[in-house]
Amino acid sequence: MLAYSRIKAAKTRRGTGRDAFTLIELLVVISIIAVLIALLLPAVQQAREAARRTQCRNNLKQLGLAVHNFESTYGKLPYGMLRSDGTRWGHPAFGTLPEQNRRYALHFQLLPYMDQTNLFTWFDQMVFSNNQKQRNSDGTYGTDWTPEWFHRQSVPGFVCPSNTGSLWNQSHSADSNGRYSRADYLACAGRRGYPGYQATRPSLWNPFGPGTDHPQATIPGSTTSMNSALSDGMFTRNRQFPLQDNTDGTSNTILIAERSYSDRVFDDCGPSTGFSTTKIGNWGWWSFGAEGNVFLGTGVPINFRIRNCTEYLDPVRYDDRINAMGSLHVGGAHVVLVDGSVRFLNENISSQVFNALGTRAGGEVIGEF
Amino acid sequence: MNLVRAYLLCGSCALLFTLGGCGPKQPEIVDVTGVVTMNGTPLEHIHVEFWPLAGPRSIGNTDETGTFELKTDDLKRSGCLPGSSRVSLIDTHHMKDDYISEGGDWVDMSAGRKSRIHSKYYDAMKSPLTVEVKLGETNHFEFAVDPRP
Repeated sequence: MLAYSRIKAAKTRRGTGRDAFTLIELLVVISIIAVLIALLLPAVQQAREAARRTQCRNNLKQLGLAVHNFESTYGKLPYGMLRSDGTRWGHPAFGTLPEQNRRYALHFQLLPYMDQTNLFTWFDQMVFSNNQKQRNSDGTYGTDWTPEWFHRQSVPGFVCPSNTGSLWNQSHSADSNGRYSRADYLACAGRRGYPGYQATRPSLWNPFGPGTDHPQATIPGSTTSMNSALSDGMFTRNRQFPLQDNTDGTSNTILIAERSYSDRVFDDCGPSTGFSTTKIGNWGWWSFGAEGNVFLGTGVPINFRIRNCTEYLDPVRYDDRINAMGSLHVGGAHVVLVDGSVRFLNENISSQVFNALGTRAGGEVIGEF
Repeated sequence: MNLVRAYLLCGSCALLFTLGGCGPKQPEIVDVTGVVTMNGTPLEHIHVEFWPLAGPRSIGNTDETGTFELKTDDLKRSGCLPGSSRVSLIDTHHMKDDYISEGGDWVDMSAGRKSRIHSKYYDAMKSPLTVEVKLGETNHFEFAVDPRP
């Protein structure tokens, strides 16, 4: 009996019956599954990006609310950036030595309104250089850049989950790489945040630009002056604006916007030594910074990028990149308007309307956008 | 076997349908050229930007004959969106491309050099130059600019 059933089983396996797959059938099944996966995978990725995008919008909303809470307390919006540059500006007790300069960015001032009061009180306002040192439990400060320092603290609310790359600044120079924590949402300084058109890059320290006859404005508390003609938004250096200065209307003015840190061309073009060693990830710190680290402008199309290294050396195009709003969300970037609403702006928005959105008191008439 | 063929056929059709129709439709743009002169002399190193009401800007730079040709900002296509456009002109002749010194420090290489043209052209939104770029026509613009006062 046993032998007979074995023979029967073997016969069946040989393939007269239909209880086994042929090779062709197997291949067809595999190919169909492959096609289904190919169709589904992008959909899954899109769903994940949609979730990141929602988180990103929410972060912007929180920042908008924090600015309004700040405004409720002080009657004015925060400084776009504060930098005292060797004067006792703000309080006679503040020192005048370079390491005692007061320097902080918009985001720092918002910390108490974002449940980050402990981080806020960690910051040493009197001696700026203490913020790059280890802080001991007894309140004293240790060695520079070790093991953890204030500027390195990353705040989730300042980071857009869609942005790739390190949470800390990226530089070709090992000395300055990874020291400062990144901010993905930067203040809209009007049409230009980083030096005006006519200022060359070296003129960051002499921002009104050499050889130009453009209007200049002296910055209170600073030894330098800044070209104010295009810095006409709600945020600027060393000044606070009350909401009534926003005569264009709070629904027609951008408060804070996104910047994209994904830019391989820019990253590959920078020199490996000297001051201009920046990758794009070196711009945009929440704790402090210069204009290019804190401000964006609407004079540049959304998602603007340089295309080659010749453009990296072109002052106009380089400045454009630093000023550009952008994101890794497809087709545009989020902004929060002064009224606190978050909008997604299409990168093909009218250049004239986009400009008008940057100004706080430009007097433009804006339609739908 | 016919069933297998039918499966394969259906599969490839589905794939074609999915792939077809991809790619965004590009807005129509038109070729734009022009000349920038000052006191009758053509100006080289002028950065030209057209800011259309309809969408993103187009840019160009003048050569030694003062001639420019507009390209989209990504430099991939020639031309500019049709319709009314504001024009800004930026003199880059005093911003030399050697402004990064050999050590890599930011040295002001442009010291002493000045912009040749009037500053009123820098700001596109306040620039006196506005043009109408027309669909289906030759768009050539001549800008005779004022010198720096």
